[in-house]
Order: sequence, then structure tokens, then C-alpha cells
Amino acid sequence: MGLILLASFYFAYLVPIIFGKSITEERTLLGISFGSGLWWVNAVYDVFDLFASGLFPLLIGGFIAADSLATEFDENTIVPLLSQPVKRSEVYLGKFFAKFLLLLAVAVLFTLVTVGLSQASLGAQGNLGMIPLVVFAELGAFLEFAAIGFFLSSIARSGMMVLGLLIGLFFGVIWTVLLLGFQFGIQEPMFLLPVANAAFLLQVVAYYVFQPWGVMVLQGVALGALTQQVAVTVISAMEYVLAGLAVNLVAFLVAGYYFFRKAEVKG
Amino acid sequence: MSAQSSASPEFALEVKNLMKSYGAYPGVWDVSLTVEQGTLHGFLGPNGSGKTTTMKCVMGLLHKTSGLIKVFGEEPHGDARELKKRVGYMPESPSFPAYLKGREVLITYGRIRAASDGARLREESRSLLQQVGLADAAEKPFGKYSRGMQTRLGIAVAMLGKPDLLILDEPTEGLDPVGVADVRNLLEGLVSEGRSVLLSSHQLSEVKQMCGKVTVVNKGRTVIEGSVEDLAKRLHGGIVYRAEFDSLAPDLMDELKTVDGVSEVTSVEEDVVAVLISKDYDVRPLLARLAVKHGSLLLSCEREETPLEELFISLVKENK
Repeated sequence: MGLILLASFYFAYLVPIIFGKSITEERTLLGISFGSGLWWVNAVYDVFDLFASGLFPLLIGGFIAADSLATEFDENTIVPLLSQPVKRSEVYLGKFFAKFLLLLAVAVLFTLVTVGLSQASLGAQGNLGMIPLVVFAELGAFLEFAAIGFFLSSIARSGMMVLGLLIGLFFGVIWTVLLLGFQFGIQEPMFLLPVANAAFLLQVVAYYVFQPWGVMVLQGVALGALTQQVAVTVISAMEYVLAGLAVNLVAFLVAGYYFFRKAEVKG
Repeated sequence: MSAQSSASPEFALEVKNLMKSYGAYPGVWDVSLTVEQGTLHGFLGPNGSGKTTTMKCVMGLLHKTSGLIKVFGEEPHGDARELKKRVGYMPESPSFPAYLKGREVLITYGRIRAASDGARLREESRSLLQQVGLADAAEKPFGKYSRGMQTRLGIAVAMLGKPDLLILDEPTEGLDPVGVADVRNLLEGLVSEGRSVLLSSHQLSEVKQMCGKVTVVNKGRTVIEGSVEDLAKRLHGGIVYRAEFDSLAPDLMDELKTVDGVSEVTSVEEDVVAVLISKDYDVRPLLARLAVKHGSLLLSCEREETPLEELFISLVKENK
């Protein structure tokens, strides 16, 4: 049901993007709009960056992960599972790997649908060789939030609780974006924040395809106003964003496993 | 996992002075029990007495606060993978993914357990479904199973891979009388194969019929452990015989009290006495001779069977 709602929301949002082409002066200034041959990337990016940075991967990755571990605790199916001669690490990583495959499928499907709709509406746009990289970027962001979902599930062990924490995280994301200006995440320790790099990953990947040795001019929003423009090389932006992704992924997975290992089944 | 080896352990399961607390709330204070190999051991206690907590500690689902747990002489550490291969566990309300069919549940958990290869696992699943009486419901999703069917499937999953020790939490819960009888036959069959079973139950009559030994817990502590006869002995301070004489003269009554091992003689009805003996021996020939000696006859003499319910209530009340 949740996925159907998300899909409806996605299409409702996508249509104006496709037909309006979603190019404004501000967006061009922010460096998040690509030329006419890449309308589909705009569409992917817009949906991915819906309302606030990282919301879409947060919803997809976080909820899919929460539906895995937390549900096992909710429905007590964790009891027969942990009573079997298996290591808890196998259960934990096995479940994460299963979600990895599901998220990969979601990323592929999401991209192909978006490309298809965009091409059908606006005509052939080319640059389709970029699709695997876009899928990679989406998957990276999904996995980052899936790791957070696993972490929250291991602590809360209740689907409703994880849902609440994820919604809390979502509002945290919005305030982080509004108050701190996430674009500066590539220059400051904030690059470690999942919200700063999950959506940014897609943008950096897009730049990387066209001008790997070039410079990105970035401007963010902080306290409701545009921040000062910053120029960074695409390579360093890529390094930062991948480092942030890797650190978050590993840190949340390890922390989640720590709590899962200690988890008791009381129900 | 690491485990300390012990040669030919006498007990399938040993729990000594187990304590498990949830912060300030004590789940289990001091539970001890031993399950001898090849026996069916009953685990009795009122709701909230610590039976399920004890079983979960044994399975590593809860972490004990202190005490000793040994499974086949080895103390489980970490994930206790090797030991868990020898143990099958059925929780109080077994729950499996609702969309899986009965057959698929067994195949899935059999694979997780690596119980056997594909073809043999399918065969084992078929056989287990047959044994627990779910052959006709093999293709029905678990979500549509009744409570009794869920319990039966839980038992089948616990039996996957032919474990040497089965730990069953309320295996007769939700079953109709036929189902209870089926489970009893099933468990007796397992024990006859040399496997050990620990079962908790509220069905005291079933425990009495099935189990050689029982452990009674109350308020997180072991109250008593032993055979049902031992429990009766403990309750009354010995074994009670109910003897009916042709006529009961005072001198016969007096001499009865002097017999070796007899600690109490109480008049129950006219010419009927309850003889409490502290030694476990057949007192009937002696009573018959005494009756003849005093010009009477021993009409009947039977060992008093104390209902388990009565024992259970007495023991629990004693330990309030």
C-alpha cells in the first residue's frame, strides 16, 4: 500500500516536471538542471530530491529496511529464526542483502520508468549510457537509508516505532537543509550527514559523466537565503560524496548489527 | 561459537540457579532443572512463573543475568550454532510468515537449518506434516491456520533435522483432545527413539501421563523437581496407603503404628485407615499378616494417588 501511494505521488509530481521541463533560472544557478538532451535526468533528480534533500531515498530505503527486521520482531517470526543454528550476523547480513536486491530492482525500475516517460513526452534525449551510473547513485542513496532503517529496527524492534523515527528523521532532514545549507556538505564535516550526500550523489554523478575534470559551482540554501557560491572540482565532490556514503553505510550497518546481536526476544 | 566438551553427558539439559532480570523486574530468580537423556520432562508453573523465560534463556533468545546452562554437557556461547543443531524449539505461539504455506515453512526453515539436502528435505517435510496431522493443510498459507494447526506446525519445525533435544513451550495449547493425544503419541515415539523432550504445559493430566519427571516453578524459582510420585511423597512426607479391614480393633491400630517405616496412621472412616510410610516399599503383605494376627482381615489396600492438580496447587501455595 505504501509503495502504491509513493508511486502515485511520484507520477503526480513527475508530470509537471516533464511537461514544464523544470528549468528555472534558480535551478540552473544551483547546478541541478541539465540541458535539453537530459530532461530525464532532471526528472530523476527532481523526484529523488522531492521537497527536501534525500526524502525519496529515505522513504524507499528506510521503509523497505524497516519492513524487514522490525516486522520480524513485531510478528514474532524472529523467534523461530533465531532458534535455528545460524549466526545472528548471517541473519542480519542475509536480510540486508535481500533488501539490496530489492532496492536494486526499485532503482532500475524507477529510472527506466522515468526515462521512458520523459522520452515519450519530450522526445528522444540521448545520453542513455548514463543510466547505469544514475542507477548506481540511486542504489547508493537507498542503501544508505536502508542501513539507517536496519539500525533503527535493531534498536526499536517495532515497525511503528521505526516509522516514527523515520518521520522524525525526515523533519530533521528538512530543518537541516533549511538551516545549514546542505550544498556546503562537500566542504565541511556535514558531508557525513546522509541527507547531505544521498541526494547530492546523483547530482555529482551526473556532472562526473560530462566533465569529470571540471568544476562545479554550487550554491545552497541556509536560513532561507541562498548561500555564497562555492566552486569545487567534480572529482573532489565525488570523493567526498562517496566517502560520506561509505562511512554512513558501514557505520549504521555495524552499529545496527551491534544492537541486533544484543537484542532480546521477549514477546 | 566455542563450547566446552564433556564426555558422555548424563543430562540433555542442565539449568542451575538461573537468574534473569529485566532491569529492576526479576523475570527468573533461581530456576534449576535437569532433563535426563532419553526422557520426557515436564515443566510446570502458573502463568508468569518463569517457564518461557527459562526456555528462551536456554535458546539464547534472552541473555541470562547469572547461572549455568548446559546443553549436552556444553555451555552455549555466542550463537551456539553447533549446539542448536541438536536442539529443536517451539515457542508458545509459533509464528511464521503468513504468506508461506505449511510445506514451504518446513522447507524454508529446513534450509536455514541445513537439515538435509533438497530431495531429502522435501521428503522430511512431507513426513513431518504427516506426523503432526497437517498433510491435508500442506498447501494452505500459515496465515489461514487455526491456533491448533499453528501449534502442530510449530512442533514440526522444532522436529526438523531430528534434534536430540526438543524444547516445547505449551505444545498442547489450542489443541483439541484428539490433537493432544496425537502430540502425546508423537512425543512418546520420540522418547522411545532416545530423544529428550522438555515441555511446559498447563495440562497437568497430560504432563502426568507423558512425563517421567517434572520441575515445578513458581515466582521465578524452582519449587521442586522429581517424579510425580516423588512430589506426592514430598507433599505428604511419605507414601500413603489406604487400608480397609474387616474390623479395626484398637490393638491392631496400635500395632500398625509400631511397624517399621510407618510414621502415621490416621482413621479415615470406620475400619479404614490411611497409613503414611516414609520408606518406599510394599507394605500390604505386612498389613495382611497383622490383620490376621488380630483376628481381622485386610479387605483392600491401595496406594493413594494424589491428583497432580492437587500437588501442583499445594506446592505453589506452599511457596507463596
